[in-house]
Amino acid sequence: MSAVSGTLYGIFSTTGTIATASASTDKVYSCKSATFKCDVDLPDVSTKESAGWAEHLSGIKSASVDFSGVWDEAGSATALTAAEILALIIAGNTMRKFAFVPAALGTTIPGWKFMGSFKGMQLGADMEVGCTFSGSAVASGAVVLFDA
Amino acid sequence: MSVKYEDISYDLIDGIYDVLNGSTTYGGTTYPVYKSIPKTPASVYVFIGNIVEIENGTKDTFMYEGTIQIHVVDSSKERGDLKLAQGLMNVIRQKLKATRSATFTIGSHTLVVFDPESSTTMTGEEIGISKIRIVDLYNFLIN
Repeated sequence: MSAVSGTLYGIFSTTGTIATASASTDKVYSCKSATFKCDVDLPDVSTKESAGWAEHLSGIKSASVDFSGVWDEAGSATALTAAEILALIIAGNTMRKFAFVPAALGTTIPGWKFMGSFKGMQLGADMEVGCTFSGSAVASGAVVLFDA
Repeated sequence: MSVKYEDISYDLIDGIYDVLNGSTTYGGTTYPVYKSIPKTPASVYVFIGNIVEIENGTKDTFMYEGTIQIHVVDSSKERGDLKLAQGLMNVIRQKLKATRSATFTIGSHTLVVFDPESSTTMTGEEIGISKIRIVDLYNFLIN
């Protein structure tokens, strides 16, 4: 496998379960960056019997996606825009399906999916530049490989 | 929203031309606006050009940002007429930026941001003729 273009990867979010496929209408629109993070706590279990080396257990796993881009409502008919994500948060932010997947899903490079919630959304309006947005989503439950 | 990579420079130049052409009037005289300078230009004219542009879009669309220059060139007197050049540039600024957030139509694209950057006044000899040249630089963001 060669290096992968980051342009390929998008964040998708819709209602439903992670068993259902993602559609182009679910894409978080106009992103410039997207970062998928998967972490695991490693609680320390070192004792006097550890022979001088730290030991740990495999603890709680967590995942999240951070994203940012240029605010563009022109895509509202075909994708999830920053204003629509804000509206979801304001309305109560029910549990949703999220996917971090490439355009050519399952062919050569994988994606991942999880149930979760939007955690935050920021809109930036600096003078003499285009408005920007940034936000994040946090998993509630397991992350699943999404290879179509 | 531009989903394919395009040249936006002509749309921008044409948009500025449409705003200025026929309305660059100072002291009762309307001065010509050039997109390309003719072999024998008027002694006082406005020139639109010198675009520096980068593509800086998103994962879904192309966006273009950069700078464009607006020139006022004056060789109307032995060493040009600075007051005339300054007065004409003042007219141009008010046409292009009637308000802080003003933009204008540029063909099939959207001019999101059009804001003044800097202004430079130059004097000097060009092919034996003294000229005054005022160059206003504008930042643009096109979607």
